[in-house]
Amino acid sequence: MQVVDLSDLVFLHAGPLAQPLIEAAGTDITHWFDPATHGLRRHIDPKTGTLAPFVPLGRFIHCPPAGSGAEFDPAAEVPWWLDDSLVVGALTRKTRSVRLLNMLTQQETALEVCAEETLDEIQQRYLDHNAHSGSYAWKRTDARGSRFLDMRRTLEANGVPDEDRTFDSLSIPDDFYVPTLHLYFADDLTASA
Amino acid sequence: MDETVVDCIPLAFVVFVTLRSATMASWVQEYNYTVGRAYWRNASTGETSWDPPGAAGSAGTVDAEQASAVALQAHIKGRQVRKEQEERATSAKMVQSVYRGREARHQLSGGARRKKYYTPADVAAHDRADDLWVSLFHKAHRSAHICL
Repeated sequence: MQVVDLSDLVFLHAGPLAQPLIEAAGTDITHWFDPATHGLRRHIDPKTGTLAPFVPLGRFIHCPPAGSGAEFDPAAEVPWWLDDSLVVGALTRKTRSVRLLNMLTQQETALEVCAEETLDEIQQRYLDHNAHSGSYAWKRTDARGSRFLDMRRTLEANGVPDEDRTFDSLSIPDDFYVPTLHLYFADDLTASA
Repeated sequence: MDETVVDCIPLAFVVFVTLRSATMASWVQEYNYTVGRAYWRNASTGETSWDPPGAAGSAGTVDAEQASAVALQAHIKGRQVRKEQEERATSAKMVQSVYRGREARHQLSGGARRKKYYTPADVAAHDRADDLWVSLFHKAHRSAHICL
């Protein structure tokens, strides 16, 4: 459950072994690996009848060649899928949608955010749409009334639940209802980021 | 300039050997029966010597041999050092370009703010060979409920 940056790896191992990785760029390749061992998936090679790495898309970097049983030394280099230095962060377990309404300009921005993210991290994402996003007071108005939101906590913890699953079970489209947060300009006298 | 000096050394060595054999040719060995000992006589100048030809050059020959040996050694060492330097330079270039690539990517992606969590869309934005992200070991499925 991690996001890895393979740019440098592919640069340093340029060649045919890098091609499957380049073709998989930007995607999830969990299915390449054995979930139990975090190693390569294995199968009995129909040609040799031996246990071999299962790489239907072609052999890639750090993948032992077929038919190299015991003599291949994988310890020579940490395979990239186990190399922690390449990890840039975690992949969210669940994304959710939220709308941010700028009460000063009435501009509404729909964002796809991670369910694990705090409002501070969501505000960082909002920077792409509003360079001064740090200078707003975030409020939520719903049946419980209007309240300021705690920027250090997640949407869920701030009483803005993710109802996708409920909608799914009722066969209602996900985007039937997307919660809106109200952003009031409260100039903190900072320069825009 | 470095190259020409190095190339001259084997040539100097050849010249030295030719000169040496030329001096050898003009000297002939003869036998002095009264003393009972062989001596050397230069056929062209009539000069004689108890010592082998180039007795004067005896010391000179040793010096020249040493010098050529040193020169050859220096030649080989120089080649090794140059090779090492080249290797070091290429690896340094490699590291530099990796670093530069990373910096450039960082600037291109608008400062690419490091996040703790990424959405699949965030990952999908890095879909080029020089800016390549993938996600791994993903356990959750779409309708997973998060309790935080």
